[in-house]
Amino acid sequence: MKKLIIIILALFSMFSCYEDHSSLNTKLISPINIDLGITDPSWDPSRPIQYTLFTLDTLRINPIVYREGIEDSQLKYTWTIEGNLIEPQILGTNMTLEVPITLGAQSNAYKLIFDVEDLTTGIHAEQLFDINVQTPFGSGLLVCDTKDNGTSSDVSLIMGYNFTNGLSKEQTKISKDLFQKMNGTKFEGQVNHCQSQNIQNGSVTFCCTNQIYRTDPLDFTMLDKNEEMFIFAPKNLYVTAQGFEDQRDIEYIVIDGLIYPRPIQRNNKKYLHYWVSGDMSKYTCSHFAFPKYANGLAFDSENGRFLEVNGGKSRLVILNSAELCDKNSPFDPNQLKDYECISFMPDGDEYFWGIVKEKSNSKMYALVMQQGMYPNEKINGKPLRKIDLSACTNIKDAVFYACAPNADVFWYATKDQIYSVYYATDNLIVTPEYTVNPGDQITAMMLWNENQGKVDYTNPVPTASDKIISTYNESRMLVIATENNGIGTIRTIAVANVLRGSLEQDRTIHGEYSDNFGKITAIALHK
Amino acid sequence: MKNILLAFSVLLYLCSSCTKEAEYKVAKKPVYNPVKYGYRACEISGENAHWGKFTLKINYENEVTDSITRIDANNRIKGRMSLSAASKTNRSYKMYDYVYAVDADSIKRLDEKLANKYGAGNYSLEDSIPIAGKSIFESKIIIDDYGKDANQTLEYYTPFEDPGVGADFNNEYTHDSTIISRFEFDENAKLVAERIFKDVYLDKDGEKAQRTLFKREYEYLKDKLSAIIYLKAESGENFTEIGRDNYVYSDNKLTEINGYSGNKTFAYEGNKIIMTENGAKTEYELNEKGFLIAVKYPNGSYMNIKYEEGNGDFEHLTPMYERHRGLPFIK
Repeated sequence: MKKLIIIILALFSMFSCYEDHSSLNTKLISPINIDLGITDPSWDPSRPIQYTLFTLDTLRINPIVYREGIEDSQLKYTWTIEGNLIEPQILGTNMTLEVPITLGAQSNAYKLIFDVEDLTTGIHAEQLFDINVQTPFGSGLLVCDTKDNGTSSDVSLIMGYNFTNGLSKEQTKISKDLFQKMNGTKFEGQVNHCQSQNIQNGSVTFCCTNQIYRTDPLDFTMLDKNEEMFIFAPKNLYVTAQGFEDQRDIEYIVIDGLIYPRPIQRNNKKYLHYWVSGDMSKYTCSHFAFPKYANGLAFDSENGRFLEVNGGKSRLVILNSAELCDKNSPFDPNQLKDYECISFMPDGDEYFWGIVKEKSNSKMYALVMQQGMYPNEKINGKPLRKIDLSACTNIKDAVFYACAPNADVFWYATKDQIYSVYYATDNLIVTPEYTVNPGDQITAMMLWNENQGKVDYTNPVPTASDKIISTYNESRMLVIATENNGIGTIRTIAVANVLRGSLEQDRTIHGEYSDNFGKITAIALHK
Repeated sequence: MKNILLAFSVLLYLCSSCTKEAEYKVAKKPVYNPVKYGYRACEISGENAHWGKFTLKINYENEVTDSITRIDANNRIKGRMSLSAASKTNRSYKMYDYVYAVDADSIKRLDEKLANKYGAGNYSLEDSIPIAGKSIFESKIIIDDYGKDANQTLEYYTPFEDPGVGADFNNEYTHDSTIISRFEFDENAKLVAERIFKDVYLDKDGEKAQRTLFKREYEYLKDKLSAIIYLKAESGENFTEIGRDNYVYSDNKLTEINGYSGNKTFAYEGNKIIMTENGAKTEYELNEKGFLIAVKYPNGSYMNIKYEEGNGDFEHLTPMYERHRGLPFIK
């Protein structure tokens, strides 16, 4: 019995010493690799990868996915995007993704989940991405161009370093031919004027040869056109000027010399009956200007006078020469029959600035008038200076003007030159500032008057370590459009010396925006 | 009974001590030991369009390529490759060209100044010109836990053609492209797939890149490479085949590669291998141990390679594809 027990125990001990190799009978499964080819050592693979793009942009993500030891065909890919406000959508089922993003812009990033399933094992691997979608129709520069000599036109939006806050030079975004894309058709005729009011009940208005279009400022879908936007529609629709009165939120449009107002408050969409003059006489407005804090003025070429565009009184008020003028006044704003108005604009928040030509001898003058803001509304239009522009080189060939607020400076552009004029001294100092490239000609010019974007200029201190200074661009940047054989280009030039109006001479730091534009016929700031 | 209980206790103890249930064993991947050739390249001399006549002196530290010094025909140091990071799993190399740090006008003024000070012929202008190192090639290799080259990242730069003078002087090299490769080996350490990200830079700052995805699959027949299949993934798509190279052997020697990368024939003359492609001949010369000792390219450039005893890893500087397409390479 003893022996038996010992034998049993010995057998048992032998059994217990048996090494269990069953756990070795396994096959190691290599991992699914979702490789994004990122070489940046600071990249944290545990965090979602960020992509930022605009609506309608194409999202491209090119990972290489594999599991060692199996065919690629044994991997199943699913790209799914989700967000708080959308149903999850499958964007793709291939290893790489290329898809236009039609989702709306939102402040929170969409989540893109890239799921890879190994069909041989059923094991999944995931990679997360944060997709930030921004609106492509943010602030920037509107560019209206024609490629068929004015038969049709379209509008593009440039968002970039010079026109949009927070964008670097590499992030320039040009949304081409927006009216065609959003509405399926182009503008009929050539856009001569464009005005954007990106505010509540605002719109972007495009005035073509005989057509007027209004679009939503957020997505450029058409709101209405032509007669639809008037209570009393004019017979023809040839627009000669557009304006906006900030204080009372009134849009103005000049057709056949008559000023049609549209108060945009209370959701009003329509232009009202044109305003009449204070003495009920016929008038013909050729130019008008609207300062931020004073009533606008309009030049009445019919009667050779300036009228006040008074939104509070809903009419054109005749200026009171007796109150505004004295024996030393350089001119009488009601006695300008001998002059033709060439250009008229506000000069900052203090003055009006007009360019007029004497009909008898074609001599040109600049007229400076006071802006009258609360509580001095009565001095609105008070004549201050009449400056003889005879000394200005090629001034008779000038086609565009801009004046610098808070400095005794203005610029004028012929087809191929820009000059600055410093008029603080008795004798004007006229300086050629910019000559277009051979074959180019200037087709539009404006002084950028919003603090929206930045501009570069050469550091005036030559020994400074930073050779180029970047600054906010309000009243510091001229925007010009040039044309060469039907190809349009937008260029930006910094005002390097604000007090003297000197423009940046180093062309390598001028801004240049081109994307197969046609001839550019109108530009406008888009807030 | 007492003895029985004692024996039982001892056996129980044995029983518990013998059991290996607590040790969970799993299968392990095979470990690939690097090939030890016994010889390593120590000097490469030759001539090419970019460097002219050159000699590369190769130094090793613990069987790892530690530095390479490039000297010109006048025995002046004109470049260097340094090992910027090295560990068991990571090696980073940068090859620098030494270029003039000042423009031609400054060199001319320096020459005049030295001539006035020391007299003509009494100074070395070349040794007096300030130089700057510009990266022309970078290689980063990641070796995995099992001893294989798992990843390789290669950076290529284009030298300036004319550095200009004065304010236009620019001696920077342009970052051309980055090639990131992931390698897959089979159980016998044979390369079976190479997956490649190729970034071509579109601007001189190297910020905007166009990425293309490629894959090469390697097929073998009885231990010999029989085909390389080339695949490409267009954006939004999966990998699809774009071509293949077929390898033809005769008497156990590679005689022909035909297909996607062009048609090449190989002739063997003594210790030379002559590869002909489109009528152009590239001549490889091997020593008696089978190491590459000379290459002559159709464009006139050439290399002569000297070896020394010892083990090294110079082959890591050769892209994996070049090492596996049947052509001799420097070890």
